[in-house]
Amino acid sequence: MKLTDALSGAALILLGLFMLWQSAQFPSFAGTAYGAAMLPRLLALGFVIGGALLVLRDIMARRHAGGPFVIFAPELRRVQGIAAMAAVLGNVAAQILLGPQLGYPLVSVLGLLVLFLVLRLPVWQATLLAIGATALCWWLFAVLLRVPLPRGLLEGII
Amino acid sequence: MTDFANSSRRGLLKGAAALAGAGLLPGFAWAADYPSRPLTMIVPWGAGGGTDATARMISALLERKLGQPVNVVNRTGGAGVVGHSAIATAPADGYTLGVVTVEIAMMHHMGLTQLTSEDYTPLGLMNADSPAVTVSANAGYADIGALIEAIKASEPGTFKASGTGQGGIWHLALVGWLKSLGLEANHVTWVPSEGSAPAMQDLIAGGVDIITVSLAETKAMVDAGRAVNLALMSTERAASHPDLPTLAEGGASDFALATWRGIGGPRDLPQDVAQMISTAVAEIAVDPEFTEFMDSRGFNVAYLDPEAHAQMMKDADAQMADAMTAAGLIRS
Amino acid sequence: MPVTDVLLQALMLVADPRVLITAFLAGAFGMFVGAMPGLTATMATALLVPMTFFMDPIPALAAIVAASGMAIFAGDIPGALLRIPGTPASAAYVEDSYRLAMKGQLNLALGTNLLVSCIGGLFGVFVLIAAAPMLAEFALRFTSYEYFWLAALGLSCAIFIASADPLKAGIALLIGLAMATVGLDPTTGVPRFTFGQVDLMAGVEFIPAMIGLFALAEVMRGVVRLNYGTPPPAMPKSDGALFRGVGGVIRRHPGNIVRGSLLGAVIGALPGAGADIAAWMSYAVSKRFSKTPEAYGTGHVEGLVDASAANNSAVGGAWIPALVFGIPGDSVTAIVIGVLYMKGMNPGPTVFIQNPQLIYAVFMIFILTTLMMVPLGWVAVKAARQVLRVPPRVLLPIVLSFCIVGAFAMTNSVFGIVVMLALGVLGWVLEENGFPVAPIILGLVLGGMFERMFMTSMIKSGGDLGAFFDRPIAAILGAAVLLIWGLAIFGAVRRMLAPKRPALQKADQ
Repeated sequence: MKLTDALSGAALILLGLFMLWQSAQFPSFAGTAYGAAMLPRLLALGFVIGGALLVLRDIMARRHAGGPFVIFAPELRRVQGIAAMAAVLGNVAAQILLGPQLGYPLVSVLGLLVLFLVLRLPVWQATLLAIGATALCWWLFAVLLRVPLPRGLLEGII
Repeated sequence: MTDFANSSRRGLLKGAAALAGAGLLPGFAWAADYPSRPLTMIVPWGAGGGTDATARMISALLERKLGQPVNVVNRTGGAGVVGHSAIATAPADGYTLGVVTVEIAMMHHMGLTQLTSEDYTPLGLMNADSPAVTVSANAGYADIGALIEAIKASEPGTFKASGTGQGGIWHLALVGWLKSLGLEANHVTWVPSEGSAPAMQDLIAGGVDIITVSLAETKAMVDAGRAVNLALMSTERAASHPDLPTLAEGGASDFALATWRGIGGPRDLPQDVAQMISTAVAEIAVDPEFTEFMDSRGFNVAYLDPEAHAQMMKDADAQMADAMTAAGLIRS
Repeated sequence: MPVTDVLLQALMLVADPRVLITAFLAGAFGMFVGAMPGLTATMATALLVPMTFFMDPIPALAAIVAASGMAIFAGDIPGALLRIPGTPASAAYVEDSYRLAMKGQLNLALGTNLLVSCIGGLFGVFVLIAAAPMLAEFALRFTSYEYFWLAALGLSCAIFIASADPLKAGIALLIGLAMATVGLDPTTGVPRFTFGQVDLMAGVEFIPAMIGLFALAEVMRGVVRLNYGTPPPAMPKSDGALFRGVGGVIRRHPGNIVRGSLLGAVIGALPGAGADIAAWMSYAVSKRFSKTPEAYGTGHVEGLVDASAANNSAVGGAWIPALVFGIPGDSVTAIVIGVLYMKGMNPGPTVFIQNPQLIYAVFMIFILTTLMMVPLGWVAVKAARQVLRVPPRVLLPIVLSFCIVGAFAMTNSVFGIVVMLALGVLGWVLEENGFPVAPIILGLVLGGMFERMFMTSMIKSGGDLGAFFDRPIAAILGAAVLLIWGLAIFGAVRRMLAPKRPALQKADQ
């Protein structure tokens, strides 16, 4: 997704203003004029100035050129591109939302299966790879490195 | 590959069975055969620190006593809020325990969390360390009396002290001590640091004048002859430092305070489970393997049974509230 | 006790087969952990600690020394192969090593990384042996004023690393700094930008952030292109000897190696500044003094030489304050100090007098494991190179799996995955729009120290800015920072007044 610099500049200005508004609520620190709000305010100022420079530069540059404000990468204009992106982000989101309840292994196998299928692997390969990759991660991290990956439904089984 | 597939499929079936079972038999089935699976020990502080090392030692011994692995999990950040929340919000089934540290008596006063010591099932206090008043070796104070005289004679803000972050336990130690001397809380400026090690560094480099951290944390620099412990903020001398006088002995007020670490679970652990763990914890507290380890790190073993542990946490809560009000740290 | 006796005793301690086997296994383990995106040298060490409980002091220390050194090198491998730095210490030059690999010079990139890492590592050890007490004294002069300027100097590196578009690089740095302010402010104890979320109080962990910015974004780009039918350009096959041509690189850039190693050892010796900062600073210094600064970031081997030497040299450097004063030089040595106490080798000058044979044994272990890095690294690179044979549609989802578990492992909760997801999307959008992501990491790494040291100094001086120049080392560092910025601004103004050249466009967009 390509934005024009004018648009990203505007977004940065908004971010800066948001930070200014938030940091106004930080309590001041007894004894000095410098408190928790100091650096956030300076950074916010930086965002506003940087954003404004981007906007200006872009407007100067495109006085002649023109063109749309948002260009979706050509890859993302096709359904396959969107599906691939969605499958990747969906895998990550599923681990966040469902992982703690259903357990890492289950969510991982199902998620990877979908992703492999979206990437047009044959079903049997996709199934084997999804299970294999999950088992590998589980073995390396949960067993070898003792990372407390959620077991979820498989609690007490693996 | 096929092996993975098989075991996974079997796992799935068992998982479904377990789900059905859990739905039908809420909670009591496992109490008889607890622990039937690995336990988790949550540590609210980072790997390699004192709390972490203590927890790992206790876990290793607990593992032996309970016959199930006890995995140490570090949940760090937010000055202990993150880890303490994780312990309190874990299912109260005895499979998630944690190290509850003195910060639980402090964080809620600062409005960082709603959690208090009431949100845990105390299972036994393991350790309590009092801070020492420590100065740089070339500062030239003969004893604690000399330092106090110099502080009292100085303009407010001349002396700087450090040891931990703003509102941390060692900050409260300084404030409480100043108060007991009849001085203002900010008579000595507190310079927040990210822990005791950078504070020690700053002391030696000449950035601050006084450090109020535990003896274990000053040990290397004191042994190196770069820093000097003047007095211990405790009612009695430390076993590891029999020559170090307490504040009271030095004629410098009777203020005392300690940081502590105890084992706890989420609130309302089943009684038989809590009983089982606290018995094991009590045994660990006198296990020579544990006490030798604590000695080697310079930590003071101070066991309290669950009831006394609960009472101590309640008392500490009140003491911390006073100290934090004095320090002007409590926001309304 | 005569020195020869001490050395002999130390040698006996090290020559024990159990020590050698432990070092070897721990080294292989460190190699693996470092090569995993997001798993750091610190993590490798932390995972070893429970095992070291039950070991004798020398095998325990051998395990830690071996694992941490290897992990720092191994972080270079996925950087070159997949443009995913394995550890933050490799993030500084990931662009160069990946582009070298795309030019068919994978062997040159990784071979240089490996040999120079080994040389840098040895340099760090020799500094540790020869100058530990002296450097430790120097490090002990650093108060918050000096650290503030050091952090400022580190952030100034962004000027030199900055890409074709300084404005966008600057904004990326600001984004990193802004993310570093999330969480509980250590100076005042106030929560900032946490929106009432407990997890956010811990702030944005920079490892999950790095996995998101580099690895997840790379996976997203990869699958989209793959499905669109324009697969990402395949990396040319690079068979043959790993070290071919490396000798030439080393002969051409001996100054870079010495400079990088020296910088690494000194920065490593400063408590709180480790291999990560050393790599960034030496890369920036390398670019500043190079004859071909414009080649940096396009697959140029020179910056690699400096930074690879620096980050491994810092590993040894970090032990200096740890051994001499019990003050951790970085997060790995923080763990080491705990182990030292547990083993009754209380750090401090006395350990050199009371247990000299143990200290010399540690030095020997250092040398041994650093040399061991070459064969182990050779095997690791050979093995890792096989991933290039895996078709992208199989590889990318597997990389994604590792990203997810790696991000989880840093916080031991799904919050790590949340951070990775957010930063992954951010990184993808930013890179699509020509913002470089590396400065974000720089900001995240140094932001906390920069602010904390400023605040601490202000509290000490009661708000007097002049105090930042009162101490001699602080004054020198401060002058250097001001000089760098002054020259940069002067240069920018001169360029603006000069006749316009056609603006540089990103070549690959």
